[in-house]
This record gives sequence, structure tokens and C-alpha cells, in this order.
Amino acid sequence: MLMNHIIPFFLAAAGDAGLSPGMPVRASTFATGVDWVWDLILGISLLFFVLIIGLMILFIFQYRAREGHESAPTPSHNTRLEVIWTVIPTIIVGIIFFFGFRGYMDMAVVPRGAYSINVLAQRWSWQFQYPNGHVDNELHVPVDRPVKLVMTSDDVIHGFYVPAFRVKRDIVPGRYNTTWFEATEPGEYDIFCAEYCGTGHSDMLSKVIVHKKGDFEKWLSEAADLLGTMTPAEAGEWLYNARGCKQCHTIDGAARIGPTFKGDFGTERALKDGSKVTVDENYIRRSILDPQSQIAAGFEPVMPTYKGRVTDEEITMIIEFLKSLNPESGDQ
Amino acid sequence: MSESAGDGGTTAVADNYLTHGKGILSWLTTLDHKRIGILYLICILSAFLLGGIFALLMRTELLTPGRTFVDADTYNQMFTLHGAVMIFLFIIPGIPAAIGNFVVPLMLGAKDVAFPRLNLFSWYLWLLGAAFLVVSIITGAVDTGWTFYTPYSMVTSASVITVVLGAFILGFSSIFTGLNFLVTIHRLRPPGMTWFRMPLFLRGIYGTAVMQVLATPVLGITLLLLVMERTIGIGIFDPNLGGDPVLFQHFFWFYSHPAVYIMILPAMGVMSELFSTFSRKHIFGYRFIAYSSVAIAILSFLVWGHHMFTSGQSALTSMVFSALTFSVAIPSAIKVFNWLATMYKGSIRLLTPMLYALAFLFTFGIGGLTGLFLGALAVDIHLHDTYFVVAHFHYTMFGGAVIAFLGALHYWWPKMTGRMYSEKSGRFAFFFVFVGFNLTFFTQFVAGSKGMPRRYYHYVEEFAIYNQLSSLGSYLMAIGFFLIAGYLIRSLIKGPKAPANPWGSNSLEWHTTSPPPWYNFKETPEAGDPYDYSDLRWDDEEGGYVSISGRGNG
Amino acid sequence: MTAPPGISDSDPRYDSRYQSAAGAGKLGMAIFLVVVGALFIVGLIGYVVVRLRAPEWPPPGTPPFFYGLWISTGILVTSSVFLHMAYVAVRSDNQPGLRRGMTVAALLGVAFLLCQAWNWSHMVGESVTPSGNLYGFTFFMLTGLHALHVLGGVIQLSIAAARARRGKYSSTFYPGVLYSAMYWHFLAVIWIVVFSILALGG
Repeated sequence: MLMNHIIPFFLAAAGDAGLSPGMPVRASTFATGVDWVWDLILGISLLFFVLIIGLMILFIFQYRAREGHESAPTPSHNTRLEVIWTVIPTIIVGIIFFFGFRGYMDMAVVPRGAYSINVLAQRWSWQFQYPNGHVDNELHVPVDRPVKLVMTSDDVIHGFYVPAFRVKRDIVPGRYNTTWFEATEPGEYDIFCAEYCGTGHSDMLSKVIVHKKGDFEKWLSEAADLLGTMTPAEAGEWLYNARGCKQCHTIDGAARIGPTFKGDFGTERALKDGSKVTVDENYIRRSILDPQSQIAAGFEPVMPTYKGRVTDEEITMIIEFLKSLNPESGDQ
Repeated sequence: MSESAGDGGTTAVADNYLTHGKGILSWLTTLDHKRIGILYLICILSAFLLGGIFALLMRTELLTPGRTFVDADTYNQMFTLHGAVMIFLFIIPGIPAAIGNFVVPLMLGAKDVAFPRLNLFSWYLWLLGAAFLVVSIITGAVDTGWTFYTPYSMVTSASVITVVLGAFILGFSSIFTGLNFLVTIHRLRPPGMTWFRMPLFLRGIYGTAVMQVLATPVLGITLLLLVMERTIGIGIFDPNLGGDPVLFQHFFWFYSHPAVYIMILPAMGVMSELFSTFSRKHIFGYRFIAYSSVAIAILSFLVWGHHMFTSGQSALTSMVFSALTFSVAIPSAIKVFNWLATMYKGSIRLLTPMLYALAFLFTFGIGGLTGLFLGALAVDIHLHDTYFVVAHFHYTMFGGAVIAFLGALHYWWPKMTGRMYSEKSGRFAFFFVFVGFNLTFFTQFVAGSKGMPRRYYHYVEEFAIYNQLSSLGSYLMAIGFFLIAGYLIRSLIKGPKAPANPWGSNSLEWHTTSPPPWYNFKETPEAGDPYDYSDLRWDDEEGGYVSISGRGNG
Repeated sequence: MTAPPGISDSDPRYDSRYQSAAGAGKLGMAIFLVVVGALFIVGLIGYVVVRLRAPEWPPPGTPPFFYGLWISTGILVTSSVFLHMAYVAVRSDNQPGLRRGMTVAALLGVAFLLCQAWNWSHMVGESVTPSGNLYGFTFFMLTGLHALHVLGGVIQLSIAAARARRGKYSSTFYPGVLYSAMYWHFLAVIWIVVFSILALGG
């Protein structure tokens, strides 16, 4: 088993054909530049490492303590030598600094006319809002066109990270941080949350889907009236997946950060303050718009409000979906 | 000059510092720097064990991409506790407080530190701070990461305040230790020991003490602000009240980056001693090594912003911090070249402490060179907050500070305990530690550059192989540490008696017996060049090195 | 510190063990002052950062700068002057002068703390509280941090004053007076800096 893994490991570490050693696939215009600086530093580092360790090993063999070998007196300092090995590294790090900075400036300056998408990060989901108002939990972008992300957070600091694009930016509550990229290869790539944000940090994943030329516009117009083509319960399920409900509320009966939705509708629920309520349409509506007002017993008050982020129509769809999860509620 | 320092090596000393005063109480009230050093050593090794157990639990959880045996919250608590315990309880006090307390006055030929009572008080503060950290594990283990980033640390339900108060108290302990060493090194130097004839370990401790004294108050204020924010909501970090959470990061790293060098400077001091002693060569380029320490200490205060390249700080700010970060690489490089040059034409003995010194060159070399990747702005954007960073700081902190600590422990063990450990076992265990360490953390470089973010409980399938190899490495390392613990404990009972000078070093602590008498030296000895070995020769009868001229007789 | 039980004080091996090296105490105190100074510098930098970021400073509704702070400044500076007189007195073995200087300085230290308490209650009465806004917080943090250090100083100064009254110090032995004076003058300087920044910033 180990052999099956170890060989691919070294192959992967050494880099697939055409890739920089250790780096993931390249799918944005930044990737080439970043990988070039990576290769440069890797080369310099290897050179110095081999030099230092090589000399160390050489000295160990050459000058190891043995019968008849004495340490030979050498000068205890040599200013010229020491100035040389101060100046050479200085020049080298200067070069590395320059190329690192040049690549960074490309990332810092958003080109004019970039396609703008709003990003809302919250524990532990992503919502991408397109100019036509459509909100999705996956990031869809056109190929070969600069895309600018205007990002903010609802709760704590998150980090938007797409390894294949070499793009990363912290998302800080109370301000807008922007970043941009231009995808070069159609396909699907991972989005990770890079800044630690609590329980579900490592589940705060999504995909960026790079569409072929022309496909993006088609996808966007279809997505905008996607909900109209579904039954209310189906639309509710879609919203459940897309708007971050599922990160905390399961539909398989297991309690996570919040209560499960399975078999929930129509039952009676104990609240933290000791009172009891029936899980009905009004309770759900209030829980979405003002979650802190009715905390279920045994759970932390961590849910953010969705006020202004879901329409009344969408709330109705979510309620229909919840009803469908409890066939015994009698509303079916 | 004969008999000027210490008792004769061959004359058995009935009364040494270990036998001077009996019972637990004589230890808990001791003002003897050597005993306080031993107390610290026992405590920080316990902390190392605790932090190590957390690390092993984490690595076991990461054997599979999904849940292995604990849930996400428990995992988050484990990595936080691992970091907090290792940094605040182990590495920061590791070399300065434990090894330094024992060695510094001896190296100075002094009878004690300048303020022995303050020294004992610092140890009790350490205990109190540690108690706070341990209590927090029971009352609600923190899950914020050891960096306590706001606003997460303000909203989590864990006992953040308990831990923060613990760190605050540990900060006092650190400041008092630093203050004590500064005064000790200034005021208690023996005749003949000028600033440029001082063993480099003392310079490392001195530089560390300066940083402890200057940087720790910043941490104090930062942590107090965090407590205030959590209790009364002052609105300095809380975005809902108009505060700026990134400001916390600036405050935090303004202390914590110098803290990284608080951890590594004494380690570099140890290296200078080891390379010179075991190569039987005068240290090469004393002044450059000494000045590079000063440069590191100053520059370390100017680079904190490199922790925030992705936080949204201005491009100009990032540029300045990137440039300053690269400048820190140079003094470290100078030291490495000087240590290499010290080995040149020496007579190199591959004893256990030297193996750790050579390992340091290897691991710290990798740690330093990978810093170049992280300092380069464009590449850092990709690597920030990934396992590459985790690997980098473990190569510097573990591969640097901890490896040096192990070297120091093996080097001064005979002096501390009066016993020799088994050299064979030492080399055997070293192999496990070295191989295990590299397997654990080198794989993390690859996982990180491939894009695996840090602090991930779940990870995507493609990273499984790196994590499994890494876990395997951590088990190897654990075996190594248990072997070390085993043969060191064994040496206390069955180890042969240590000579005064087993390695042929020439700094003053080797001029007194092993273990030293309670009073260290009868009279203040006169210091010569600590790196001149021409007066020492091996003596079979003694089982150690003795002075040819009879000076110090050790 | 005397030698451990059973060992004569005159034993050559133990004699200098717990006698501080020359100047160690003074250097230790100087380094301690650097630590305290670093603490206040960070606090003041924090204040400046907060002030620069604030849209309006002081925030609307803040009462005018209170004259009580001028009074405490006067008390602390006077106290420093008396302590300096005590220091001069002890160096010339003028015992009455030493006693008077130390006692008055310590009493003025207590008066300073009382005056600060009065200032705080006045601020709270004007609804400036630590948790109200950042103006209130920075005010209470800086003055509170300083008062905490003064409190420590008053305790130490009182002990030294009591010793001085019992005639423990002479022109050749006066560490308590020296350390009190160093710390006390330093706190006075810190207070003047804090006070000026609050006065100018408010």
C-alpha cells in the first residue's frame, strides 16, 4: 500500500510535466508569473543548500577526529571573506525581492473594465452575487476575462483562496477587500477558506467554475430564473444548498451547529430561555430574519441574520422544503 | 594561578549543589541559579510532553481526510493548545530560562545571577501562568489558534480570558528573567572577559534578554485590550463597534515576530559553542557573528507586517515589509557561513551534541531558505496560511530552537547532573528524531505549496498522502524522544561519573567540577579566550580533558 | 542575605554569594523603567492610532478638559521635588531632611491617587466611561495604567519612608531612597507626557 502511495508522492513532489515542482495546476494569468519566481527561488535555494550541506559533509570526512589528525590553526577571521559572504546574499535577496514585488503589483492593480462579482463570506459558506442579482454558492466566471471580487464578511475573518489561480485575500468584517484574477483554462477548481474561522473552517469549500467562451452569459441568464423552473420545495432545497443553510443544519437527522431539519416541521421545540414553540411557518420566518430571538435549547447563538438577503418568496420556498422533510407534519 | 577556579577535577567533591540541602522544600525555596535552572528544565520538559501529546493526537486525526477519531471542535482545541503550550511554555523559556539559568552565571565565573530572589519569583510566575493555561483546558479549551485573532477570539465561547491572562503572567516571568540576565551579564563578568571575549552563548542570551524586555510589554497591552474587548466591548477591534480587527494582528505580531527571534537567538548562541568545541577550532569571525545577532535583534522589530500580506494592507506597506524581511535573512546567512568556516581544518568529533549542531545546519538551513519563498510577495500570496508556512516555522522553531535545545541539553547534561549518558543511545535516538522530523515537516512543504490551507480538520483527497507520511514521521520522532528520555533518566542512576570537562571546552563552566559545588567557584576565576583549546589535552585517567598548564585544573 | 544555616558568614566560599554586585540594583531599576516605558509608549501609540482613525475627536458630547487633572499634575510634580530633596539630604547625611522629604513625598503620592479618583468620578458623572466610547476607554486606560504604577510606587515609597524614619539610611547606604527616587521621577515624567497628550488630543 505504501509503495502505491510513495511513488506517486515523489512524482507529485517533483512536479508533473510542465509544472513547477510542488506547485498545483496553472489556471490564471498570475500562475505563470508566480511559478517563475517560485522556480527562481527554488533554484537559488537548492544551490545554497547543496553548497552548505556539501561543504559540511566534506569537512566532516576531511577533518574528522582520528589518530594523528590535529586541528590546524587557521586565522580566526578574514574580513574580506566575510564581507564577500555578506554582500553576495544581499545582492541575491535584492533580486528575489524585486521579482516578488513585481508579481505582487500585477495582483494589486485591478484592470479597468473587470467583471465585478460581490462575495459574502460567512461561517461557513460562500455566496457569490452576480450583477444581475443572482446569488450562488459556487463561483462561475468567464475564461480570459478579468474578474474582480468585492468581498466582505458577516462574522469573522475569512480568506478567499484558489490554489490554481495563486490568488488569496483575507475577507475582513466591516470593510471591503478586493482581489482580481483572469482565468485561462476552463474547468473546475477548488476554493478554500484560508483564514481560520472556527468549527467548520475546513468545510468552507466551494468551486470556481471557469466557463468556455460564450457559455458564461448563457449560464448566468439561465441561473437567474432557475428557481422559476422548479417546484417551491425543489427551489427551497436549492436555496438550502446555495445560501449556507446546509453548513449548520443537516437533513439526515444529525445535529450539527444548529438543529437538523429532518422531521422538524410541525414539532414542538424547547428554547434556550425555557419556553416552548411549535416549528411552524412563522417560527421559521423569524428564525431566518432574526435568529437571535429564538435560540433552540442546546445550541449556541451563532446564526447570522438573513434580513435583506432573502426575499419573502424565497423564505416561502425554504418553508416548503422543510415541510417536505417531515411527511408527518400533515401539510403534505 | 593554580587552583584559582573550582576544586580539582580528580578530587571528589562531597558537597555539590544537588546534595547541598535536602528535601523538596530546599528545592522550592532555593535561590541557587543551578537549582532554579533544573526546576525550569523539569517544568518545560513537562510542557514539551504535553504539547507533544497534542501534536501526536493531531497527526493521528489527520491520518484520514475525514473524521478519524475526534470532532472538528476538539481538533481546533488541540492545535491551539499545541501552539500555545509549545510557544509560551516551552520554546520561549526553553533555552534562556532552563539552560541559561544553569549556564550563564557559571560561564561568567559568578556565584549566581544578579537577583536570585527575582529569579525564583520568575519561576513561580511561570508556574502560575502555566496553571492558567492548564485550567483553561478544563473550563473550556480555547479554539482560536495561538494567535488569538479577532474577531473570532471575541465571539468564541471558549475561556479565552483565562488563557490570555496565563500568557500575560508568563510575559512577566519572561521580562524578569530577561532583566536579571541583562544585569548579570553587565555587572558580574569576571576579570578578563571583555565584550568581545565573551562566549557567544552569553551574547545570544543577552540579545534575547533585550528583546524580551522591549517586546513583551507590547504583548501585555495587546492581550489586555483583547480582554477589555471581550468583557466591556470597547470597540477597538470589533468591526460592529467601528473597530478594526486587523489592528489586533499588527499589535500581536509586533510582539510575536521578535518573539520568534527570542526563540532562535539563544539557539544560535548554543550553535557557536558546539561548532567550536567539537571542531576543536577557534570560532571563525567572532565579530561578524556577534554583530549579526545585534542586527537580527534590531531587524526583528521591523518585519511584523509580513504576516499580513493578504490582509488588505497597502501595497506600499507590503513592499517595505517584504524588503525588511529579506534583510533579516542576511545575518542568519552570515552565521551559517561562519559556523562552516569554524569546521574548516578542525578536528571534528561526531558526538551527540555535535550531531544536533550539524542537524541544525541542515534543518535551519531549510527553514531559512524557505523563508525566501515567503518573503517574496507574489509567492507569499499563494503560500500564506498554507501548510508551507506550518512547515517553514517548524523547520525554524523545531529544526532551529528545539534541535539546538537538544544539543544544549546533551552538551551540558554532564555538567548539570554529574553523569554521562550513553553515547551510543544518543546517536541512535538522534537518528529517529532527525529522520522523523524531516519526514514530518518536509511533506508539509509540498502539501502547502500544492494548496492545502493550515488549521484544516478535513482535507481534500489529494492531500492524503502528504498527511499520512507526515503522521508517520511524527511517530518516528516520538520514538526518538522516548528513547532520549529513557537514556537520560538511566544515566542519572547508572551513568558513569562525568569528568569536569568531558568535551574539551574552554568556557568557564568547564573549569569547575561536574556537578558544580553550591558556590560554583571558590574565587572568581580569570577568563581567557573561551575558544582557545591549545591548553587542553585528553587525560585517560580523568576520562576528560585537563589543562596542560594546570590552570583551572579542569 | 546571610549565609545558609550552619555556615559562617565569614566563610570565604560564601561571602559574596548574595551580595549584589556593584551597581546591579541601579542597572536593574533602569532596565525595569525601560520596560514600563515601553508599556506606556505602546499605550500612547495605541491612543494616537485610535485618535487618527476617529472621524471626530473628541467625540460629540465629550465634556471639556477637566481642571482636576492640572491639580493632580501639580501634586505629582511637588511630590517628585520633595523626594529629590530627600535624596540630596541622604547623600549629605542630613537625617531630618531625609525624613521630611520621604514622608511628604509619600503623603503627596497618596494625595495624587485620591485626586485621580476624584477625576475619574467626575468623568463618570459627565458620562465618560471606559466602555462608553474609545475616548473614554483610552482616557481610563492611560490614567488607570499610570495610577496602578503610582500605587505600586506609593507602597514602595512608604516602606522606604518608614525605614528612613527609623534611621536605616546613611550617606553610604541608601538604596531604598535611590530606587524610590528613580521610579518616582520616571512616573512623574510619564505622567507629564500622558497628561500633555490627553490635553492636546482632547
